[in-house]
Amino acid sequence: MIDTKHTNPDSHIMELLPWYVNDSLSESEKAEVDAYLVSHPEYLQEIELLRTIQNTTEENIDIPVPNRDRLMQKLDEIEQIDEHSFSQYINQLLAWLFSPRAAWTAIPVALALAVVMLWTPSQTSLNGDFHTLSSGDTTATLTISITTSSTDDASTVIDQMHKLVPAAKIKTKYDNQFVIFLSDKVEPEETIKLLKNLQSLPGVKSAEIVTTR
Amino acid sequence: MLLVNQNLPTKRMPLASTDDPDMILFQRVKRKDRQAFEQLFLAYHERLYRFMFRMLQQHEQVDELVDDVMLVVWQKAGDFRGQSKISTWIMGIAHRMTLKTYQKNKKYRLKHDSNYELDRIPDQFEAGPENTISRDKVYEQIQCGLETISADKRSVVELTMQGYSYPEIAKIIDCPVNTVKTRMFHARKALKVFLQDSFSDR
Repeated sequence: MIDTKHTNPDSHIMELLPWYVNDSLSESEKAEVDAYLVSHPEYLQEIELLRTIQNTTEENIDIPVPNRDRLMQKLDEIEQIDEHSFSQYINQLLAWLFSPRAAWTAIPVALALAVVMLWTPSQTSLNGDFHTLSSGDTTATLTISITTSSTDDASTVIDQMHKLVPAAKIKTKYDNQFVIFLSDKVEPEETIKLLKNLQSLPGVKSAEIVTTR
Repeated sequence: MLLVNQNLPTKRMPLASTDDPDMILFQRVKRKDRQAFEQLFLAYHERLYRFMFRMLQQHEQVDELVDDVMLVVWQKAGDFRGQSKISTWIMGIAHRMTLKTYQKNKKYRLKHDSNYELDRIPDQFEAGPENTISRDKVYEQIQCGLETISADKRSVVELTMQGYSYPEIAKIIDCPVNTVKTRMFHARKALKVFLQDSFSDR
């Protein structure tokens, strides 16, 4: 719509008059209308018309006492319907779950899941990320690679490791690097604890999980 | 006399404020507090009834419709995003429901009452302007005039006369502010025709 304020000041003021009458104009708009009315008294008749309309709309209407009980009764009915629809929805869902159609849907979903699980690598390189063992496992056998700061430290570290993990098999890779195999399943919390202990041994440069199974 | 009612809207159109007592009540309604819902109903009953009755002129229908508006408020409370005042949002619901009923009533009357259109012609055109125009007569004429304008324009007139500002009306009826002004302008022009005699004599 065209901005009547600049193109036609009469129309602009005419537009504002109803709200001038109901006293909802901003101060600046009100002042604008007041100023216009001084120079254009013919608009006073328009205001009178609007006030007449307003007065008639203010006519006494017999407004009944609000019926709270009736409203709350309607509310109860609505909520009952809602509850009913919810239980109906659950029933429909259950009926569908046990229907042959659901079985036909479940078969491809199960197959897809099986494929995804088979394709997930069974060995995961963890690179020292203690918190992620192989996905979904609660226990795992694992291999830990230890590197000592020097070859001199190696024998001391091996002795300490034997004390720490008597069941472990230790295989030397290089003079300062060896691998611990834990064949029994170890809880993740124990693994983390073990790894921290190994890392804190004097002479150990690094200790990290290589594989879990 | 101007219509100044504390329950009615203010000059500005603020967004929903947490200080607004209606908002505090409404937040409880959102959490499905039935007591708060009752209080909100009591707070809005008169306002809704007045607006709807002015539009529909049928007590029984309006009485039921006010309940229906409040039930929609209960069900849709979660959808309110605070982009307007609570009163504007509730009046918007009332406006849409009133308009629907208004159109339905009009269709019904046109279908079942063959004299409906004729009945709406004010007596002044039959009796002539020399008649004394009483307050009741003016009221009747305005009512006739309001009957002839479209529901969209009429609701703008009614909301304006109830003290809503034009930005608030624009929110309630979901249209641009300029459309509100234009509708009011045309409605006033039409009403003037019905009141021309009473005003031309002054």
